[in-house]
Amino acid sequence: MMASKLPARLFALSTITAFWGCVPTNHQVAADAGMVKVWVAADRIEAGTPLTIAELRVILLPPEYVPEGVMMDVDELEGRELREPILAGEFIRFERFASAEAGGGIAAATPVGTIATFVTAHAGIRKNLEIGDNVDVTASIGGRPCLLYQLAPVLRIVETGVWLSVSPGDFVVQPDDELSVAVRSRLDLTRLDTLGCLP
Amino acid sequence: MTWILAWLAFAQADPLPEDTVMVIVAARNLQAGIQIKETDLYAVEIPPRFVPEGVFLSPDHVVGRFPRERVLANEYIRSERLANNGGDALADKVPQGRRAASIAISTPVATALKSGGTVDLYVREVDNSCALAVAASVLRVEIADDAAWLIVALTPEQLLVAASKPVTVAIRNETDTQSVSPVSACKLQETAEN
Repeated sequence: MMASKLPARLFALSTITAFWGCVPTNHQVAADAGMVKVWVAADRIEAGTPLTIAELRVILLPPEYVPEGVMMDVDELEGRELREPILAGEFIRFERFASAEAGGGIAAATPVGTIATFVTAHAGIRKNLEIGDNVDVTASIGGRPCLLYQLAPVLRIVETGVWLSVSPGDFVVQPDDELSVAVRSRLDLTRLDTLGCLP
Repeated sequence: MTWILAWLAFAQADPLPEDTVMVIVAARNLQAGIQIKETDLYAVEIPPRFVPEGVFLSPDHVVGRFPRERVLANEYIRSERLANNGGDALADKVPQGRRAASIAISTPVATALKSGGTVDLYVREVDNSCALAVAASVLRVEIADDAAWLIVALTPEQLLVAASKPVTVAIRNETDTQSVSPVSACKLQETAEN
């Protein structure tokens, strides 16, 4: 009698065990319920490039862990120019993009209240620049050393030079002579009194 | 059967709270170059499985540091956005208060130089020469097809002189930071910060 019931009990036990193995744990139940889809950058996306959705990926998060200001719908950002880089895995924030009304290209990248000016720069300095770096621009005008711009953020780096964002009050008509672009430390926000030419 | 009933009761119970870790977040927009204070930060508690890579878990590792790029309000603080994170960009290598200036040099000089070395810079005056910089740090050496440049850390005053006159580069022994140039120092225009 006992011998005949044992295999049936073992079968029941194994069935229950197998069923238990398929059941989600409490944590899994909690994780799958109420998640929202959030877009993040798949890899670092550099400033100065129009965003493509292919550069993003979706992650699932409980809504309470989605920080304020994060873009949940990125369709309207497709093709919009980035003014600042987005790090790999970082949420997409509207503030990092040029506004849609700002026009395209350099105009879109130029912060409101500043103007963009082009400065020729040789390959040796261009390849060491990144968008957002602050530079000083010097020149020799009539043999006098001149500081034309200081702390000017780099908007774009192109084949022959750089586009800089400068205050309209600082803008100068550039001399024909060669200009020199010097790079600041990212931490150095000091301004000198000597904008212009020295005696 | 008892097990199944027990499991059903367990499954219907409130989910157990997950373990969480503290993650450091920006309380407001943090601008590049402005030192981070404790009041610029707050902490959120989130389960470890939702913590992205490279975020800070303690304010002690963030307070006093400088963003190299803007950090937006409510963003996790990531090491890549802070200065002195070992970044290789030129702007990360320029000493505070200096400017990374490029000086055209010949290819033979360029091939003899390397980053981290030291050079003396001389400027030709009307009837003699002067030493613009002694033992200046070489930040980069760039060689193109038909040109080469030395990128060196200069003070704002030295930068202005270098902008207006041709500069000649002399190479120093890397261990020699003491010997004085026999050429008199260039007269530099004083500049004031505001």
